[in-house]
Amino acid sequence: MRRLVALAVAAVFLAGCQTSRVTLLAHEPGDDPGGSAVGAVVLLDPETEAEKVELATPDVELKSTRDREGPQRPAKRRGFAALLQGMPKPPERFRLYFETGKVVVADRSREDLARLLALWSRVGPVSEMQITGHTDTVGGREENDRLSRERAEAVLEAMRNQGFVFEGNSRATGRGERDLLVKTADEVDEPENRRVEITVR
Amino acid sequence: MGALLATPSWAAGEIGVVKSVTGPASVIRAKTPLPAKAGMQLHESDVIQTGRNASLGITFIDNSRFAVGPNTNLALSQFEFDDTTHRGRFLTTVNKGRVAIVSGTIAKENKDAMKVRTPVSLLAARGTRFVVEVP
Repeated sequence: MRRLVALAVAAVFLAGCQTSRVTLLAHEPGDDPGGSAVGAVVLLDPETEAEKVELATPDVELKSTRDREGPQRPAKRRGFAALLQGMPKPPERFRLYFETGKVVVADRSREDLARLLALWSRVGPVSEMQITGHTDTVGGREENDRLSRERAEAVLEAMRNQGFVFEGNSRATGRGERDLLVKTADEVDEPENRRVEITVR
Repeated sequence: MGALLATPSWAAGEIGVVKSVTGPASVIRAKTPLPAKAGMQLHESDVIQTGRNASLGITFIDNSRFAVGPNTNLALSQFEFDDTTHRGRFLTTVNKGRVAIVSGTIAKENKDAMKVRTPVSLLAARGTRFVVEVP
């Protein structure tokens, strides 16, 4: 009985001592997770999800226990190099333009297509290609969703016919007119926006 | 919101792919451990378990990336992503060990939608690269 009590006390004690640590890192070169140079990690209240602390300085760590956070201090970087060696490379991105109304790559995109083909033949079956179609603002939203997806699917098919081999995870999707390269009003014919973007990861 | 999130155009259930494995590592799916292999597709609710000296690289369909360290147990608790609208959310539960995370489109286009839970904290990624450790 006495031993059980001791174990229970130990369990409570251990739970009370449990910690976690988060360390913010600077972005890797060439990576673009969107906008800011560093980004941030925000500690939220585990129950209410209210914002508690923002960690926005690279190479600084913040320790949490069940009832408190912090303080922020310079990270002991031991072991991160080994850990980060296991990080997959950032995805490679390509943008291709096509002749109007056709699935024929425009002259300006020929070099990019050759670069893509070379990369794809090198990367092996673990890689995936995501082909995303985009339209301009001519036509309705749903119509453009469908059009952009169909164009992406046609590109996937055309690549298959040109010797690209896909072994599983590659996909064609459409973003419609949500992601305009050149911002325009509605119903504007803009060739820069009618494009297909390809991500290899 | 539910309807918007319920129309992914990806292969049923696929949320990511194991890109590299070193050492002993498994993916526990519906309580069954499967040996982790490069090229293996991952699903929501999968649990990753790595052993001594092991590491695992993962890419997700929103371009998030993980490097999972040795002696780590983490769950891909929730993952929803619509690649037309880019709406989504991603919750990882780190029970033990260490993981480096580069956030992707979900974090970029939905505020505080990429979260990491540990036994004592809840984190939200705002477009960033970070390491979570649970000793």
